[in-house]
Amino acid sequence: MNKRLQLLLVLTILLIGACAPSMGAPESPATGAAGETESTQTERQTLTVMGHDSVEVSETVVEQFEQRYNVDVQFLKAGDTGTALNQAILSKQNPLADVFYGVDNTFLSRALEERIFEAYPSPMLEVIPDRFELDPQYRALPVDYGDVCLNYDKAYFSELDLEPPQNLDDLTGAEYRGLLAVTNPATSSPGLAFLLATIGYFGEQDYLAYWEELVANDLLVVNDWETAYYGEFSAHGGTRPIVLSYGSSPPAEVYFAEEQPDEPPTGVVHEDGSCFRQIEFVGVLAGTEKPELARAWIDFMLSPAFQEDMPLNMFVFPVNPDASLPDVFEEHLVIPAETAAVAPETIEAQREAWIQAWNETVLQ
Amino acid sequence: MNGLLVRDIHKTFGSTTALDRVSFDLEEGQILSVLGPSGCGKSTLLHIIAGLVPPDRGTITWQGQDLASIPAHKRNFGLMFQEFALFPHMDVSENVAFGLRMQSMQPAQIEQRTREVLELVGLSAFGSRNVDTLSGGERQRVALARSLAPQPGLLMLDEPFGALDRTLRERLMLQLPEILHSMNQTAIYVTHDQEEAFAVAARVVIMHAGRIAQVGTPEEIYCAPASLFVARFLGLSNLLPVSKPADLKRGEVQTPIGRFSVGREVGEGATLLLRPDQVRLGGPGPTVLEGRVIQRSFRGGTQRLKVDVEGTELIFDFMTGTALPDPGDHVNLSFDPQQALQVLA
Amino acid sequence: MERDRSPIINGQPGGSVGETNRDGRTSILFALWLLPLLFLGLFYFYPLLKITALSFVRAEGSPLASTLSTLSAPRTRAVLWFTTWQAALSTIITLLIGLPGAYLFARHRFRGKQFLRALTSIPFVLPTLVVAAAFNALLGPRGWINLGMMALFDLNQPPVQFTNSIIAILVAHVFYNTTIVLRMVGDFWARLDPHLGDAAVMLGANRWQVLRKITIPLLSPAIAAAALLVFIFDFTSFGVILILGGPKFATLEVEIYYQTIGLFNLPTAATLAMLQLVCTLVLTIVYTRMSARLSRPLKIHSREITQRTPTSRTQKAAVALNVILLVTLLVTPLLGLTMRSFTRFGTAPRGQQVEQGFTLKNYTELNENPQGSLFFVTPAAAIRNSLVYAGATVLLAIMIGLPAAWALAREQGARINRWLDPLLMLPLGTSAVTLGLGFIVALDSPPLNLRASPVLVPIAHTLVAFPFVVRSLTPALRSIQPRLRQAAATLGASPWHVFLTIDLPLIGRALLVAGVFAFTISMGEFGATALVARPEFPTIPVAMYRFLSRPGAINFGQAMALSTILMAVTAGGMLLIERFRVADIGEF
Repeated sequence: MNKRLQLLLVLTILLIGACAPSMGAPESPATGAAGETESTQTERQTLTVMGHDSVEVSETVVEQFEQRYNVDVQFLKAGDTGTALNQAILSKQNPLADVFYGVDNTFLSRALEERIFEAYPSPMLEVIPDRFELDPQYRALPVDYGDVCLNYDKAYFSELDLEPPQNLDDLTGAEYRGLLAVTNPATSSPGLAFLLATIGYFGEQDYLAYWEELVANDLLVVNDWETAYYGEFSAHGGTRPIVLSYGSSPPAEVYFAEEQPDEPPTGVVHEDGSCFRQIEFVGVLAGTEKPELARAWIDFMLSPAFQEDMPLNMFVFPVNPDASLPDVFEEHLVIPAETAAVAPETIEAQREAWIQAWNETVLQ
Repeated sequence: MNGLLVRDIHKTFGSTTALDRVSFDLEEGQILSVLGPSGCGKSTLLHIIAGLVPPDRGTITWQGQDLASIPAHKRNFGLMFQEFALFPHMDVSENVAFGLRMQSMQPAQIEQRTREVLELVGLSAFGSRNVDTLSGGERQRVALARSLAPQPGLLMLDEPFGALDRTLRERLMLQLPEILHSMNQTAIYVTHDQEEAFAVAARVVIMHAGRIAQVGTPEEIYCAPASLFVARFLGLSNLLPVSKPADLKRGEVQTPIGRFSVGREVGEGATLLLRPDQVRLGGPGPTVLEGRVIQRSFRGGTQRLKVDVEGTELIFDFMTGTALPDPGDHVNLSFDPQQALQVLA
Repeated sequence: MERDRSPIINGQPGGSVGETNRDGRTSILFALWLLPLLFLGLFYFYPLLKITALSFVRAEGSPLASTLSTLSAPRTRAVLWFTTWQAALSTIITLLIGLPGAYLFARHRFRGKQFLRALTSIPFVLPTLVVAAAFNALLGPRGWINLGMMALFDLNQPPVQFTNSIIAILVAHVFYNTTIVLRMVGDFWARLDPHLGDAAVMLGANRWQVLRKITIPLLSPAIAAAALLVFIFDFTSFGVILILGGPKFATLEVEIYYQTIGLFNLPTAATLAMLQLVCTLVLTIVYTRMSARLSRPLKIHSREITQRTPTSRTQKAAVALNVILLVTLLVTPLLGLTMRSFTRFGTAPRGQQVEQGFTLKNYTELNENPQGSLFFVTPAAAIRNSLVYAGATVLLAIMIGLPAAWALAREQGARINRWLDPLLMLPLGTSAVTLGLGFIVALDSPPLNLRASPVLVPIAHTLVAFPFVVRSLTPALRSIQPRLRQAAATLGASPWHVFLTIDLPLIGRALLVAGVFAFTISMGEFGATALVARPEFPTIPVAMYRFLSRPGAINFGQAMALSTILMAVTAGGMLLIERFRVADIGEF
């Protein structure tokens, strides 16, 4: 064996050797030197909470929990809702985290069927209204909810002296021709929610006929919420004054405005169950080595401290009635009296068929 | 006139002048050498005649036609590049046939002409060879064949032997004029090597810093260099600076080795050339120099003496067979000032 | 040991003097391949195999039956057909626009060239949502062009329907990938002997014939390499199809995403992912066979010789036209974005949105964290994180790519090269969703428990950058005349010295191109990285999505500000990389 080859082999092995420790290092939750010095003082544990990319929480709120339990909370954002859930499912033999937060009622059945959660009947559930509790075995516990509703551009309608639509039926009217933009249920979570809203509103027999009428009324479908809201919605420079978004969007428009207006520039179409309610759940990941901490975290998420922090961070609303809403929501939020209802099991079972039928009706 | 007329060509690149009022003629069927050191503007001149670079000023006429409005590819001129620029994605035949294909010749004719030209340059067996596999001399001959194949009206060769070894160069130097003359090919041959220039062409243009320094036959140029630059470039030694002290007689010049009569007025700053091959050992002769031999060397047809004359080193060449003194010996030299002395501006 | 293997490698018995030499070269070849293969094996093939195996375990019937039923579905055929033709069309248009641009950069010297070149690379790093916003500002229903045309022709409806059209897909693909052609072909072109073209002219070829018979054939290795990369990018296009193409268009990659995430139909997704991979592989094999035939040693020329300052009026006009085309296509959308980041919309009394003029607020407020969010990241930290990841990617990609490129260039005919070469391109053709999930299932136990490690980010970026590095370096290394290496060897240089003193300086420019690609790929967060879970160190694009996923004028403005920062940092980084010229070939 010649010398050059030997040298190269040694170099390669050295290189791999040099890389290995640095690759292993980030496993420890706190980074670098800080983590090491702390670990010598106390046995500070780390709780890993996995969720989708939109999870937001205030630092001070998390600190309350960290101090009380002498623990570091690490958040692992793993893509959009579906992607994060799939990652949790595929890693269930060797879980990536201790807690998973953010599976909603459209994905709930998948999470339950794949048995990624351990049951935990939290004492906090006592205060939470039953309508949010969709898993009778307490594997997935409700944390927050939000409504997927059509929004409209108030300025557009007031300028034309046109009445904005009140419910889904109105939208097939000639006066609303070419005004609506929605998203694709195959690629967008609000899109799926809106499809479910039409199914809940019109029933499985008639919803496709409704969509046919929408198409005839010059419906626009785009693939994602960002394009619909920031690209097509007339309130943000587009041409469509009715767009698929959330019930929380009008207060968000007020909150994220340069100078806060007296009333939101947008309104919500919410009568007669025209919205679909998304409920997000949290659960202890089966196989966690820190079940006690994980449960404590779930209790904490359901407590007012965390629940009151959610609206301004994620624009979703507390399931715990003891939590109060920030002023901007108290003033501007419309919570529909009734929403379209479709059971999670039905959603999981029918999703593919419904989307395919929708696809054939709307896109072809 | 039917050949090439180059008139008053001027070209600048940014702030540097590449060509300054260049004019010369070339008759059809003749070969002209353009000789000069690198950077003198030779290649630019070729590229302007070829039409690859437009001149700033001046005209070029070929067979009575002004070429200004004729693009390079329609002039029917050939140009052989310094490093041959063979097309690496084509084999030898394809390279040679390229110009013929551009003329939309019949395939059979192309094949025949390609064979002819390859035979002419002695590469008949090389047709399907990849150009990467050729030696330097073979590449040179492929390049020549490629340039000749379309029968260009005017063939220009830019330092064609530059990259070749000496023996190969000397052989090709003899072959090239033969090939060109056999085809009655009008050609311009650019080089920095006087030996090549003189061997290939009947007429030589010497260029210096973008200008023409001298035009003439090789003999004319060698025997009567028109300027100090030309003399130096030809490698002529014994160039003596001229001064003019007050007591100088008419027609005389003062040099570091003495006063000489040249029969005419010479300005300050001129140079006197004492031709190395126009000097005899001993007398009798009108003028005599005294010196001491420093070195003697044998150079084939001639022998060379390096002589110290009043502190100035001079070089003299003698026919082989002449008995020469040894280094250290004193020596007397005589010459005819009419033949041996030449004043350069 | 090597001696025992040589018969297998050479396909003939070894033993003679010449064969010993050959043995040595083969063992060097093995040594060169070691690191790249180790890297690909661990971080590409292993995750991919594991997720594929896991997916088929979930199939209801036999895996074969499930595969066959997916492949025979009319839907699959329709998607494959669309994927292929849109990619082919996009590639052709990209070449048509990129080649004159490559000529411009290769053969001309003009003021602002460096800067323009840096600008043309920016599209490559921009997240699709931002690009969509940029095109909307220009071509959307309320974009400048539609508003202008409506005013001009007194129309009620916007005449140009851009989003949700095949035109939008094509334009976006050209916008993204032209830089690949500019860089790869432009670099090669710059080193091509201009006398070859002149020689053809002297033999009677007009400009068009020179292009067809001389320039294009000589450029073909670089054109083929660029076309292959562009095609693979277009073939696996995801964001552009989803966001600009709209719901009526689906490529294989979009379908894989839908089957995986939407329906959790892993066997179908895995079959489609394999289909996409096989297409890439077939294409790459065709390319490798072709490129080995196309590339030949060329004389390398310094750019001093090959580049001209335009002098005549036609030349100047051609340069100007070319610059205008590139600026219109590649730079105006960027400009629109930048302008948008300096404006903010407010609400008028009656509820309309009104523009409020020039403001820096979108930028200054990036440093504020009104909700005290745990996930808040300052722009400075995001820039730092992006740059650290990009720097690591450049180093890693070159460290892995250089030996592979060198091995490929040294022994073109070697069997090991013929087999391994096509494999190198596979990461580009791999579904990002699939590979992202592959990381999760494969890299889950020590010492490779990288699932949630920041180290996975540069590794994932390197998988995408690696083929670019190899494709940029191999043609340059192949075009080095073997004589130069032999000359150095006869002067007593060891192979390592030959590499250091001959190859490395000669490929300085190509190395630069490779570095720029690795840098931009990392800055732009390509492919599987979007699916890599990351607990900390958010990059600029990650920080930007945080704003873009929320309603409200301020959020949109801040997202635009961050994308402008991304553009500026990328351009700055590229100008800086270009300064580290590794001994430019201008010296000889």
